[in-house]
Amino acid sequence: MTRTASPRVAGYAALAALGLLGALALRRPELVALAAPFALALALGLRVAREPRVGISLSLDRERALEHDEIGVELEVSSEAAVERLELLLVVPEGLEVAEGENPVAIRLGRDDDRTVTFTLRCVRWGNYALGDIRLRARDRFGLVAWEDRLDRTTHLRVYPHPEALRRLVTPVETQPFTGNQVARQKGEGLEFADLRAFAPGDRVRSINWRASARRNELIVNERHPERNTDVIIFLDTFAEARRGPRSTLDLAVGAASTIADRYLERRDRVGVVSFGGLLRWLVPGTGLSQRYRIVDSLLETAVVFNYAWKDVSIIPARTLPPQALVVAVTPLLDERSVSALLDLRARGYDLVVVEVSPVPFAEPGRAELDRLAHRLWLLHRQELRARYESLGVAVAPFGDDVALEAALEGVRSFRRHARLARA
Amino acid sequence: MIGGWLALGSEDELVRWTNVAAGSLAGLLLAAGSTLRLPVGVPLAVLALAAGYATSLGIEGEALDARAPVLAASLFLLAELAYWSLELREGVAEEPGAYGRRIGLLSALALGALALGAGLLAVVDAGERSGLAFEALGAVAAVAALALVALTTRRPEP
Repeated sequence: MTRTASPRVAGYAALAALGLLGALALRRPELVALAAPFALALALGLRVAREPRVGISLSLDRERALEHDEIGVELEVSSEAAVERLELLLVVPEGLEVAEGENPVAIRLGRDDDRTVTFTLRCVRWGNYALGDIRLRARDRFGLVAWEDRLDRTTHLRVYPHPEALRRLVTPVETQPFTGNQVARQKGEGLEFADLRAFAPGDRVRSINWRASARRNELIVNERHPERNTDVIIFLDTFAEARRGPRSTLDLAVGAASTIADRYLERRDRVGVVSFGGLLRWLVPGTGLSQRYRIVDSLLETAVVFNYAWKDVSIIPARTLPPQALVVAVTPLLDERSVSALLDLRARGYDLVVVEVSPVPFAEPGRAELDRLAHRLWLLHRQELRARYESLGVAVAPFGDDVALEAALEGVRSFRRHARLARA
Repeated sequence: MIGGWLALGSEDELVRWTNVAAGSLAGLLLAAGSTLRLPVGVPLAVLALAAGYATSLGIEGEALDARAPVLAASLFLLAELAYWSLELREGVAEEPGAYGRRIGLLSALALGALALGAGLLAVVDAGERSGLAFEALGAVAAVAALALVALTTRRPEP
């Protein structure tokens, strides 16, 4: 603990000294009476001041939470000796805020006393937080001496993005050979009726359509679509973000990516993640609950890392982008590298969907005529970019605070209903 | 308020104006210290009031001033309250009962300051009348004060 004298010490010492000197100089005992309380308080206060020995432990009511959740924090404080005033501050990282209770707080501890300080934190933003930087300051009874210390009781808290309501997903054009919930375009063993055809040796008797056979006087069998799974790659653009205050396009993008990944995993599809930006991160496609946690944990580490290096899709490991996978790109379409990487993916034949986290609400036009003109040009450029993607058969769905993910994906579905995939 | 009280207690015009000026200066220093969060404003304000009082002592004569203990307690209380207000501005939430305990402590300290000042003045008054015996007692008190200072400056045992 670091011992520091409060401003009282210097102030009282100066007053006492000046009072006594004044008394001597002016030969007035009344000035001694004025100086005496300050001198005595100083002498007694410094004499009785003792360094406290304080023990602190930190606990959270849970280690995982969703955005906007509230979590309880308990600080258990104990001391062997009495502490007149102990000020406690738990440094709350950006992205969390105190919802209920007080932080910092001052408490009084008796001899061999235990106290529990509780308060509630609200998770404002998703992220992986390390809580436990505790600052404490103890003061003696007269407030003359303060002991300060900094304790590290690191406890990790993972705050996951709040999932958005999403009833329907974008159906991939192609399916994979494994069993899943997606009706494949191919014909084979399945539940969904596809077509009728003439019986061929090797066909199962149970697949004969007796009514059609009676009508045509030959054996006709039912053909069905098999249920297959799909590979979905969440392509998260982390080259750049638009930010205003606590909100940014990256926050929205991570929330959307997490929701989409969750929903595809619920359908037993294989989902992978590529975080394409200044720092390339990837997660090979997988399925199940463990993959869900892997994806969310990987998304929590997402950050915009500034980098001048030119990057294209060739740096992404091949097995991260399986053939016939649906690539859902979540991007603000701000950086030329990600724009061209997506065009490249489309050119390589991937089924691509762009969820455009619109940066437009984050950039207001300036007041000057030239600024407004620049803003209009920028909007036109974005429109042209969208048209470029759409001419290649890639749906671009704007998404943001004012457009729900469900509505954005509905736009994608309606586009894909009418558009055909084009060659880039 | 203290400056006003000192001014009202005197009939001399110069003393009155000196104490009013000292009181105003002290008020300004306290306000500035509180606004700018500068603790140095507190001793300076106390010093301004004490300087006004010392000036009035110099003008008004040789007799012992019986107001000194009350003034000592008031100045000490003023300093404690001013430092407390600065601490409150740090934004640390207090637990229930903390203000009551602090007010109790301040009251006790102010009463102690009053008693100490009164005791000192009584000793001085008695010494002026009794001569040599009290001179000797004063010397013993000075030695005791020195011993007390030496005791307090010693490092506390771990």
